[in-house]
Amino acid sequence: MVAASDIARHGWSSRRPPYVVRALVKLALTLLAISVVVFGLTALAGNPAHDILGMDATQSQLAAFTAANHLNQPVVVRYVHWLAGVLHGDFGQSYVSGGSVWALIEPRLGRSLLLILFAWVLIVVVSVPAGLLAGVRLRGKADVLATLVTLSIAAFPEFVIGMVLIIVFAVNLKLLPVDSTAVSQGGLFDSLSSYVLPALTIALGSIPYIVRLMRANARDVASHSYVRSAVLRGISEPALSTRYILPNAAPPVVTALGLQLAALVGGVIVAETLFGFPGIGQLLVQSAASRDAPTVEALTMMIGAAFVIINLLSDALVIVLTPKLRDAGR
Amino acid sequence: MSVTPVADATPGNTGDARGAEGDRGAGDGGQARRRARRLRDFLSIPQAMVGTVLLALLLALTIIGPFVAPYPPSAISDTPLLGPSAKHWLGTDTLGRDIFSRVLNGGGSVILLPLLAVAAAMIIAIVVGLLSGYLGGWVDAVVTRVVDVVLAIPSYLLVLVVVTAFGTGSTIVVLTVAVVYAPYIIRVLRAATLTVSPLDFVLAARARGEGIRWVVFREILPNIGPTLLVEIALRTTYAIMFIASLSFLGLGVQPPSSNWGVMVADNRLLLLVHPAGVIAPALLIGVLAISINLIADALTEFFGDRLHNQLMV
Repeated sequence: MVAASDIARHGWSSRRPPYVVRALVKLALTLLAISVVVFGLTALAGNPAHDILGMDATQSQLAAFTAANHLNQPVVVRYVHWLAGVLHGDFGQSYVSGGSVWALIEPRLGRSLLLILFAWVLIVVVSVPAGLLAGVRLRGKADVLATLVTLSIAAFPEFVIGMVLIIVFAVNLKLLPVDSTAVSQGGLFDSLSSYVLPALTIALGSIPYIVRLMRANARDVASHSYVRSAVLRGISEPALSTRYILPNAAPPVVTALGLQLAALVGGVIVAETLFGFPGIGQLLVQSAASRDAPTVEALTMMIGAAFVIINLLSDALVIVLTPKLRDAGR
Repeated sequence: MSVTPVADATPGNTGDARGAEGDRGAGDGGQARRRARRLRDFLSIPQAMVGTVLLALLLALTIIGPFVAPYPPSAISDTPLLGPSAKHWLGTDTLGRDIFSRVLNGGGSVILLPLLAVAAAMIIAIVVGLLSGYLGGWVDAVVTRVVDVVLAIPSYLLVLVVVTAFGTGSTIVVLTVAVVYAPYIIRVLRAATLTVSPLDFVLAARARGEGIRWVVFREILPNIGPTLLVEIALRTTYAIMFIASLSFLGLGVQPPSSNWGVMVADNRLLLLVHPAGVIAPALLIGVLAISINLIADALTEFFGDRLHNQLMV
């Protein structure tokens, strides 16, 4: 252990810039590239005045809209202006509401973050133990059951899963609300039940994938000789699973849990629309349908940035969790 | 012709690729028999059999459906919101359209649009991925960077940005999904090319003085066939779910189409009073996804494809 940390320290102080610096530079460049793609795509479509104001808008209305949104300036100027604003936390004016984009996003952001947090915790709490159990007791009853259930859930898109949940829990059992519109009224704890079904819908979109990955990793680790020698020493199964298999099977799953946030974005968008949940996913779909480019750009940049940063953090966590990578002095 | 080397090169993995060259001398009858035997071997995998049967049933429903439907899909045939009856097997929707007829008509775009999107993505990815893996150097560096950036943006966000800029509709969704999926496929095909290009038969072709087009499309492409097939099947499953979800969100196929995703969206507010209009199309989308999922699974097993597990895609 001492040697390992020595090598790690040596690696960090070598002439190559440290891992943290390189990671931050890569992060900044990726975010810049995303901003170019997002802004470039919307600029490519030309002046949206006609789409926003409708077919019977007069010439002067169109001209006023174009001037008010600086659409007569060159694309590069608009991009630099927009990027400078974003860096100062100013996301510009919505085409549709006329007010600031941030005013649209702000009340919805907290609710969506809470929803994502619930879903993500559900994913971790369900899939890691289930996958571990299935992998350790390979081809046992638990494994067969887990494989069957995950394969059938994975075959359905989120909106179908959500629909099934509504039929079972809201219509037949009458346990939970049919939609989540109540979220915008009252405090958080008045409307907690409105979070359950959307969070479950989002989680079920990712659980099959994580269970299968965890199972495959646990199976690989379990085939190593140190695991077999532990079994021969008479170690109990819970101790074997948690102390021998889990730590060694975890790193790829941590990476996947970070990457899975991309799939969560899709789940959030679908679930919020399905349940009428007033969050940023619903705002994103509504803004895209009404061609409100500034709002979509702002939300895309925020979610994209969050996604890239979380992946960076999960990469760092994998390095911390994996002695081999630590020693390589990355 | 292009299929033949794929079928020949498949036992085991790319290591057997040189065998493909030798087998080419066999007569056409021998090849046809060999192909039939391989198809039988494939269908003996339970997932392959079940998946193929389900898919065949759905395709039959989709192709024959429009001809046997009792009413035109968008015609107002009766009073709205009738329950199931002999006249309307699944009842009528809010506008009085026959739900059974709409279900029979709604499969075409659900199946066709993802296939078109995957085909377009494949064409982009085969050219870019193979050249990038084979050429290496700055071409590969540029391709890898661009792929990394696009993969850093969640697919839904990219599609939403494009819809904001260019509007909704099937054509836009197909093109966007193709562009969004291409980087994922490029990554897989590039990795597959890297494993094949140092092999002897590629070196031999280069030593013979073959041009880059011959080496890439006649030597490398046929020998990454298994990876390609698995990738097509996997991507089609994802695309079916993705495009159905986009139609459900109101961003893909537009009403009054009877697309199953659109039907679920149209009828979902009536779920409590009139569940048939939601359950039937939702179930069919699920069965379609399951059938192609099973086939993808069986293909992975059949070809012993390890690349997809390694790349975690």
